[in-house]
Amino acid sequence: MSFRPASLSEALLIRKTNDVMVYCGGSDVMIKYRSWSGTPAQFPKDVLYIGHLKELKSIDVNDFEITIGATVSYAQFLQDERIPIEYKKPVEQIGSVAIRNIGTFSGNICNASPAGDTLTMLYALNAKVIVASTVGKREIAIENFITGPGSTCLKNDEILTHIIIPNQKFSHTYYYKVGTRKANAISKVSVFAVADVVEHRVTDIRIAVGSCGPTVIRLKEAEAKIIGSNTSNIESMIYSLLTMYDDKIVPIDDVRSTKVYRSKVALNLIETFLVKELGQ
Amino acid sequence: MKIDFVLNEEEVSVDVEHSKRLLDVLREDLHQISVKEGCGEGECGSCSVLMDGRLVNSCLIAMANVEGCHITTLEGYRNSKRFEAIKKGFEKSGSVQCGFCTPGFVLAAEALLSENPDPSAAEVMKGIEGNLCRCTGYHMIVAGILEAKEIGKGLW
Amino acid sequence: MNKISESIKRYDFEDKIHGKAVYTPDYHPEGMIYAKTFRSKVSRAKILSIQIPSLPADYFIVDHRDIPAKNVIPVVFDDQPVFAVNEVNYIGEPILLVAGPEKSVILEIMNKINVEYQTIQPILNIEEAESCSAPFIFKEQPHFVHYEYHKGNFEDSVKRAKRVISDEFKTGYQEQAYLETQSILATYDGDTICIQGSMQCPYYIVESLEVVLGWDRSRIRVIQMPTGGAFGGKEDFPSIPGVHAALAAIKSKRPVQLVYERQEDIQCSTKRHPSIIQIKSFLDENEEIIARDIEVKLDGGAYAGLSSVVLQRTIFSVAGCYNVENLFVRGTAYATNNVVSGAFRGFGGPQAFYAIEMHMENIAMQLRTDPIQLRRKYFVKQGDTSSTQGKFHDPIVLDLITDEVITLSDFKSKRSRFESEKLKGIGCSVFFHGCGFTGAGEAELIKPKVRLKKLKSEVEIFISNTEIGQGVLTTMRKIVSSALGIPIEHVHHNYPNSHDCPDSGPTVASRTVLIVGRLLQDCATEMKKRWNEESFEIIQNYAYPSHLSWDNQTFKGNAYPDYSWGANVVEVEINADTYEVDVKGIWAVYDIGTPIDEKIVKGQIEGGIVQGLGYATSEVLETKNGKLSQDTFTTYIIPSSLDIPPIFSKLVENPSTMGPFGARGLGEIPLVGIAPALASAVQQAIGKRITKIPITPEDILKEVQL
Repeated sequence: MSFRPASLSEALLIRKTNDVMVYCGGSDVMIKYRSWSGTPAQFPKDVLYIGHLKELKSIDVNDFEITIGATVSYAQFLQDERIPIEYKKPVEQIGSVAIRNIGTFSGNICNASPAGDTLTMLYALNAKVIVASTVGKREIAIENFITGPGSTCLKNDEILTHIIIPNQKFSHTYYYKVGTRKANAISKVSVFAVADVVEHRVTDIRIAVGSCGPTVIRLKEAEAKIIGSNTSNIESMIYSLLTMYDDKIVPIDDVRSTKVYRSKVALNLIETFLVKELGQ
Repeated sequence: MKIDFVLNEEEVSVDVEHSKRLLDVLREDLHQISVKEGCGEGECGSCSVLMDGRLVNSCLIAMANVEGCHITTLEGYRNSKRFEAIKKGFEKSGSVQCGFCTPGFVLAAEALLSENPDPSAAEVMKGIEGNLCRCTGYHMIVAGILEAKEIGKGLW
Repeated sequence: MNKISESIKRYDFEDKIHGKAVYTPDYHPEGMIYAKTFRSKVSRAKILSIQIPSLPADYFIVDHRDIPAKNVIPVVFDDQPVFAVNEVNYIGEPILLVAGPEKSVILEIMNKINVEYQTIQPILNIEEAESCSAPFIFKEQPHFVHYEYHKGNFEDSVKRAKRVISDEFKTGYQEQAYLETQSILATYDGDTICIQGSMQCPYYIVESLEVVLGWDRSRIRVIQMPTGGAFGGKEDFPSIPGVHAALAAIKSKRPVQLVYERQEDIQCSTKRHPSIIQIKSFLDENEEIIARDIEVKLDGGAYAGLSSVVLQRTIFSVAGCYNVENLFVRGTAYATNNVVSGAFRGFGGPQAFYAIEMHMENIAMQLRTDPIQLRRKYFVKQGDTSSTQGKFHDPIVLDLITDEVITLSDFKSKRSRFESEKLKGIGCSVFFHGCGFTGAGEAELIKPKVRLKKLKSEVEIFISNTEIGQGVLTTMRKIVSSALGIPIEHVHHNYPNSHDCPDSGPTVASRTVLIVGRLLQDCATEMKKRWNEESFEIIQNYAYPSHLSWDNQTFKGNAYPDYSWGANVVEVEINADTYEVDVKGIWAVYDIGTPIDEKIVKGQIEGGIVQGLGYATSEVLETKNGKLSQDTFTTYIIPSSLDIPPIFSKLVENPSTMGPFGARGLGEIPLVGIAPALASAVQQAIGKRITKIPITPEDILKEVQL
């Protein structure tokens, strides 16, 4: 059975009374549940289609926040001139043109893969999600929403309706994704980092590492150690900082890469950001 | 379920499961044989079509998301002046070998040129990043699209 | 430039650009049903029992009991069954088919089929095969074939040697990754079985059907449909789905479509052979290479397939472009419980040239000499003999090819500059590809024929060679119209049909233009003499050139009727953080004789180079307990448009004496030399040796951390 509601409130009612899987853009689930060519996808549950819901298809930008509706595609995000270009970098490298025309932040978040291409940025920017049910809304920080590989704290009667990214300017942003190739690739390792440096002093820093553990990794104790430092001193701290990261980076061997490679490259990228990028 | 949409400027109505792929409906119910299946997981772009003017992989689209949309396949697009320009560009540049990926590349070229009528070679490379070709090594397709933008100047 | 080289519009262009070309999966004749293959899930086992659910009306199970004559796919050794009976030898081996009108019902039936296996210890790679004991997979031996040959006085030269430089190289699997998966449509009219499909070699399917059905050839028809890429993957393999679909059509009396899913296609179709190649070079007191001892080991997979022929090409090519007087070369194609290895563009050549070219780099490094100068010193020349002691009759222009590629790429200055610039490297390779069948195979096994038919002012070409994207429907017309001196519009040529087209041999081995093109040229020359006759036809048979000789027992003589030659340069830069290889440029110079159509030639060159780039870098394909780990387009990584570097190619003029209008074979050579040139560049960039391909960032990290 499947549902194609006309509104969010109808969708929430369906979600409340039925055990359904939410389908937004489809770029992940259509692969995961594909069957023999010519036969419909074999979804494990009844499906609630929300990709067409217009009320979730807008981006709101004000001085404090960027609010992205659940059915906004990556392409729509990329075309929005109000969005800082630094935030577009990871999104530009997701999949391909055609994938970005259907894929959504909400799908990427609910899929909760440690390799999810939007997640490092969302973690680094302290993004939040809004989930709604017939009884109300919850606002949850991204790192609390995602609870493990493929799992979130979304309840059976809830739908993720919006993603909120604080609209903050940073003096430095950095993104590097190592994929299996340069286009249409799943990440082996990725790092998204931002920092504010005022007169050579680091006033804010966040570093998020993807594909290197069950969820995206952010080390607030390491960040705290850097904040307040003079950029010229970071090089002398780098060994102890990288050791902190090395302890927390716990990647796996899989069909795409190795544990050893992922750890080493993640540390290299962090070092490049801290020493080369911030030093500039 | 009844799904109404517009295929190549004509209204169509199909009675299919919501979870059926747009690819299968186009090929089997609507005889759009230019839409090819290469991988079934959005990697190769052989099943590319335009959905409301944007390039999509029809293997990743459930019919539930097609209601009310405008779908363009090469069967429709090939009647346009823009297609003629792409065709000439591809002919001149030797962009076609086995031909299986060709319909997807033509539509990727259209999607690119309609957004950016004067792309650089690097932008063309980016525009076709999701279409795999195993025969040409891509340069001759890029050249075809760059030719097409000159031949079809003013059309996009 | 020769007039024939000027590019014309391809004859398959209109249908393809309009999306009107009807590929096999696009064609749905009235009453057509679908078939799906039920396959082994284990790598080696006895089948104890198979439980099949009761079938609804109009659904069929097709298995070995439906085979009228022999349960064998004839290739070289006839060891592979059409359907497994008592045992299975690889994951993906076909056991039966389920056929019927609704795919969802077929899937339900498939899910209810239960096979009880008694597993046998599988043999999972070359090393295990070398040391395995009974029960063997193939006869009473661990391999399908073992070959050896000698040149000169190997034993004496070894005794004379003052220094030995030895290496071991490993190469991995490669998947053809044609965009259209294996696709067949079979129809049976009560008398004749007709196979339409995606294929390279219609007559291979004809021969398979003759053996399996035991029918006369007159009741078998095979037609090539437009084919979405092949690259060797549709050489022998389509005989399997071809025979399967035929049996289903005969049993159901309905047209049967058998189209593989991508994952199924990768899991069970043939791959490029993984190899281990050991080379020892013996040097005298003057640091001259006086002898070589080479051992080649290939993983042939579970059935012999074309492994023997691939191995021959590897061992005949592995001495490279070098005249070393004394050789001892041996090769073994091992039987393992992996997917069957088979044909892939280059056909054993890419493994051979990777090994010998990397070995030459190593020798240059050991002797502290320039790698290009070292190569030049040993280049074969006209009048020299090949590794198998066949005389090179034609001029060989390796020096010119090398000069050109060095100049184009600015190799010398970059090579010396990168000695001090970290993480940058440039490498080169020099290579050949023997065009046509090995030895006297063309005359003894293939016996190709072509047919030309004249009706008034129109001429039609009948050959069994297929259009697989390489331009046959255009190049053959050009050859015939040029030979006849008539406008090309008067020459007609369609996709082959085994009822009309004589067996002009398979579309493989860079032989179509060289051998079939030449036969057509000769046939057209005959036709021209009788041009005043209104309608007639001529069949032209192949004759083995009298200046060539071949002994298939001792492997002495001309291993190939003709050779194409080439040199590549690849420049790389390694990312210091991620160890990714950024390929900055590829330069390629070839002697392929006279190009028959420059644009088609360029397409073959660039496409082959990019496949070679994938082979050398991203196309990782490994088996784990007999199962391929990268079996989808998400995990098996072929290059995308963003992964390709600028490519500069050039041809040198050196017309062949054998091919039509001076042309040689071209289809395979562009793939052959990329991996060693790229690997040499990576070696320079990281200052460590590279002895395996593909080279991944993970491998580079390992090397730089050592």
